[in-house]
Amino acid sequence: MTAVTDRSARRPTMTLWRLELLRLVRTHRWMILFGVYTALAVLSALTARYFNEIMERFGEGVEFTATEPQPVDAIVQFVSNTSQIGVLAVVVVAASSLTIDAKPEQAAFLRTKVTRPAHLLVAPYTMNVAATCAAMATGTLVVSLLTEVLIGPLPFWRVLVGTVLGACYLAFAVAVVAAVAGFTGGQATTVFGALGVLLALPIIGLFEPIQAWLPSELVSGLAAMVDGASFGEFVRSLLVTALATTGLLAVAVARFERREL
Amino acid sequence: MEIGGQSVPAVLLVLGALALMVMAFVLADLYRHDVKHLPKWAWALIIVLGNFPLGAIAYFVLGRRAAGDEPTDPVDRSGDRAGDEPATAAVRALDTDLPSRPPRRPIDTSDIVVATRALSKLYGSAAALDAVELVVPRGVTYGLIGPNGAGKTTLLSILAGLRRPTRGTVEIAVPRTSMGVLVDTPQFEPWLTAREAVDLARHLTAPELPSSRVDDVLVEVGLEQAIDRRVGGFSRGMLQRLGLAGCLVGDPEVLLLDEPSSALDPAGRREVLDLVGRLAHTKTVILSTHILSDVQQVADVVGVIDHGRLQFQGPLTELLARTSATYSIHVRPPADPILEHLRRCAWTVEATEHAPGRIHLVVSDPAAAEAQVAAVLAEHDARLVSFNPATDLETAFLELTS
Repeated sequence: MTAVTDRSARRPTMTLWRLELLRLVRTHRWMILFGVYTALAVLSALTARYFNEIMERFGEGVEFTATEPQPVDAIVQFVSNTSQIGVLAVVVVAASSLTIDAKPEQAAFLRTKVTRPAHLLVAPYTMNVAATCAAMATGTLVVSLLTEVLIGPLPFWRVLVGTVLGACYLAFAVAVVAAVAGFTGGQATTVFGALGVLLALPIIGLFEPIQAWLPSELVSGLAAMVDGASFGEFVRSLLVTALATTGLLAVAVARFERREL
Repeated sequence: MEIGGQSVPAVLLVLGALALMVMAFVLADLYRHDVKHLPKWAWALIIVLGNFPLGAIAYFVLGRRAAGDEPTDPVDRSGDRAGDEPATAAVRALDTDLPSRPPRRPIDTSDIVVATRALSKLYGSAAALDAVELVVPRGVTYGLIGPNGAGKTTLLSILAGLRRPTRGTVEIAVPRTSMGVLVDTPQFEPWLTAREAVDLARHLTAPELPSSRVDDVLVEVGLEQAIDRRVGGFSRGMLQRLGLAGCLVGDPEVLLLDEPSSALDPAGRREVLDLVGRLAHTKTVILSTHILSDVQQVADVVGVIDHGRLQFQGPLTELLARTSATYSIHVRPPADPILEHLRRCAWTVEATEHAPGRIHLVVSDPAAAEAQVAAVLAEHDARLVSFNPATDLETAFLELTS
């Protein structure tokens, strides 16, 4: 018994935060996030650098005008790729932990041990935002370093600001997942619902007067900043994103608290 | 321009006024009724800002809660209260039906820890619970028994705060974190170890307790060999033990156990019942099960629920006493002539053959029956196997629920 007690004393306390950390690590979900963003970063830098060579090798019969690769091309490629596959990975990973009620027996274990069920949402939301932002930052770092080596230097501060804009969008995307999970409950329905909402935004953005206000505008923030855009162009979108994220989280909490198992 | 003799502005004015009246009516309806999916303020925004009348239609189709689902009475749950203060003061003096006949050990009916008043739960038009008046005194082991689908799990889920009642109130005299809840088929993240799962429960319910408490509880439920094993490989019985450990680790005052031994083998069941028996002196335990022998072994007070209604509530001894006018006669078949004869006896209330040669006899006058049954059997040359008073819980249960 003493040995058992000694072992337990050395172990870190299990909290909801540690639960989410272990979920990311032990289910290898972190590898999905970091793998996707890092792979897309490498792919983007290489295709930007060797686009001309690739076209010459595989584009037989296709006429194209070869231009010297620019550092911004790699970032544009990276943003273009991550705005689809990257966001899909983020939604899938976030849905797996934010659909707390997907398994009622597991949910009952947690729900009956807290004074307010909403407390159970804080750790998964925060950990998912942190993990997705870290994955995106890692991807951005990789693409920046490769671009620096293969093509040329990138403006550091602009890359940094662009990364922050992208991180804000990801926080919004995870909040969309949380809110949709509040309505659907199941993992698959949450993934499809959240993707539906996130895909609808760029379509709404085709209506030019409101385009600059939409959270989806932040997705291309990194590429735009590197291409010379000013931070001021994104203030409206940032404001709406902050408000929408808050609202979505409020909806998620309200729905989660009202749900019966 | 004129329409039907009226100028266009006048027609628009009338239509606008009508639209405003309808909108006011819808908002008044929203104020009076409970809503689904979104909070009331969000529905109000949709009704006002939504393209009229689409917002109003959306509210009626999606938002308005059906009459059957509507909570009409305020629900008083300690878990819903702000903060974590004990709600002892909220427990009112209750008109208990608990009789004065002494149970296995004295029950203090003035100290009620869990009570429900006219508790009902409707699923559509079907009543899962119908005006249940549960009264659980502090420190007792309350056995909630009933057939499958009787409403046991629904009742425990409402007490645990996992479901909301449609009508009625729930009063619990302890904070939610002082309640341990075990669902009938507990599940955990498969990548957690047993220790991690129980330590999470400890941290959430009683962080002030030392982490060594986790190991103690795991040993107590018989999982000492699996403390560092991942839960994914656990059998159903082990999961049930782990769920029980998760309940006990926070040292709760009230335990809600839904079928705690249903997945266990006979030895495991014995251990869990022993554990519940040991807890009975220090905790209030509400135990739901369909295994009557379990209840007979550990419960002080019994509640029999059937079709959502609490058919009986009181000390186990009183429930058993209700069967004093019931006998079980076992003869070699055929038993038809004996049955016919018994039914003609003045003291017979009911005589049925529930299995070949096994007669269930309910009488109005036990003394007369005991004096004359032998003569009836002798008249038909019956080969008697046994003649016993049927004072077991199963008989009482069947009488109440059949």
